Amino acid sequence: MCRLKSGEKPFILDAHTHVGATYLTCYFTDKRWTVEDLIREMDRCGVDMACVSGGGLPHEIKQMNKQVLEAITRFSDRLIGFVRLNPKFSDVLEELDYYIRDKGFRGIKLHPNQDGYCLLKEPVLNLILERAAKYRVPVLIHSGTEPWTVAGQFSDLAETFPDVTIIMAHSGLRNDKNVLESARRVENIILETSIGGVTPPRILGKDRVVFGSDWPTTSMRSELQEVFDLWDSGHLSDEEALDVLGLSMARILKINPRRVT
Amino acid sequence: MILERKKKWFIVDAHQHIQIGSYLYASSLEKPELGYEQLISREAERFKKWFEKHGVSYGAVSNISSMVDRVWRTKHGGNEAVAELIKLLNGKIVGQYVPNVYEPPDVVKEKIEESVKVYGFRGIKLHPWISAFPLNHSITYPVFDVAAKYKIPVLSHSARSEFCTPILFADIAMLYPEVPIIMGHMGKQHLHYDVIPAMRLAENIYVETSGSKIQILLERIVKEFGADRVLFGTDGPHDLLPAYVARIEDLNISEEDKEWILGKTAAKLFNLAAP
Repeated sequence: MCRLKSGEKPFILDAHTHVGATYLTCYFTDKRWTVEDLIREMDRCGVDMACVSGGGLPHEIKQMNKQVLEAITRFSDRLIGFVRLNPKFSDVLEELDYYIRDKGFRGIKLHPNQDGYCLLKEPVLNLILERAAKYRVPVLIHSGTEPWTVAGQFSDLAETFPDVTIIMAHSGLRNDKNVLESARRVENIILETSIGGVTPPRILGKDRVVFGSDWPTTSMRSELQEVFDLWDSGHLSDEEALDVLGLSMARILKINPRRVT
Repeated sequence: MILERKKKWFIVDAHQHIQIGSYLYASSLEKPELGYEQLISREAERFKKWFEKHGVSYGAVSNISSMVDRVWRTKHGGNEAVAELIKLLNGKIVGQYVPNVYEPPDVVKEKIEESVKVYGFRGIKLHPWISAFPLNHSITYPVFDVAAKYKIPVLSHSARSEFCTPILFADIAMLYPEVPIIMGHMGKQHLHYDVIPAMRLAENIYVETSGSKIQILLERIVKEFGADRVLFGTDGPHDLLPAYVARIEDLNISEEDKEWILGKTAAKLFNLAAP
């Protein structure tokens, strides 16, 4: 495990993990990953805290959210709940209120590609974003898949809701060539690194890039190693690396960065 | 700072590029600050240091410039730089010749044959997306004819371009069953559902790992087809080698299968000495 010159291990917060399954695993396997699997993986990789949402087949969403509630209740010092919402469900706003207002979830997860709606053409999405602004919680959104969820749509949405922090999961999946140009248009888009890679924060500004793994789609250790590799090779400064690894996401979530591993 | 890496692997990077000449996204108006000889020296030094730093035994290398330019400025359109690298790096470079499929078929064949017989190239690289042709188009037949004659593998980019979807790999692979065809990036994160069905259609399709990060997909491929159909690659060389190796180490497969992916499959395909 890497340590700072002072001998301390950096604080690491994974902004994108799942229990259950993920969009990219659930059509290949029936396997479902438990919260024990997640905590074991975090311990192995030295990850102190993680934002977690449910993942799996679209009809499993309500069960996913219950599972996440159980997970963050059991591991309240390690896990931060993000509620997975589908705007096509008639009770989506009640779900949002229940988990954010009543159960201590700190973010919203949206997956336009899997749930079949467009980031700019779904009216209920506006109501969800309005409540995200009201509760002051970030919204993590899958990116990089045409036609539902591409970079220009992110910046249009971010302009419409300037008070909402929108986290672009996967930074465009290495597919979308307009990520940086779109993110530069607004200040409330944050790039999350899983699969898409690590953009040096200096390009967009402080607290604009956060580490995420999308585990169990990927190897959490490999995704984390990419940050260390860029740090080791001088592509990230000490401050940038520490911000990406966890401090920026802690500030976005307004939580105390506690090292526990 | 490497997380829990304990084993020294035999590693062959099956997908690398030099950066001399035209480059994707670079303007042709930009003039290089260094002369050609200096660029060759710079690249040779960059590769040498990278091999030493990361303990990589071989790299399969092509020049992106040869794919970008529709009309070549030299006889081999930038492949000459790879030939120089082959000479300078003492057996560590597996040259991947990039043909210009827009030249007359006889010329394409003649140049590839020269690259194999005179310059020691051991494989062919195609980039249908950058060069703009469907992988299974008849324009590629001269390339595969020579590959079949010399029994050398053809590595092609795959991903989200209509020119190089996995089904096109299956189509050309069935037409040339004696040619190993390597699916670079294995469809990345968009065509992942097409990869296994394509491999079912043709036993001579192999996959190369760079750009794809879905662990369960690779585990499924190893389970159904074997690790000797998978080659490790970086699309580099770059500083993320430890992360890319970690991804293979973390697969839920046997240690022997990891050895095949990281080096033995490529060594077998390219006839390289392996421990």
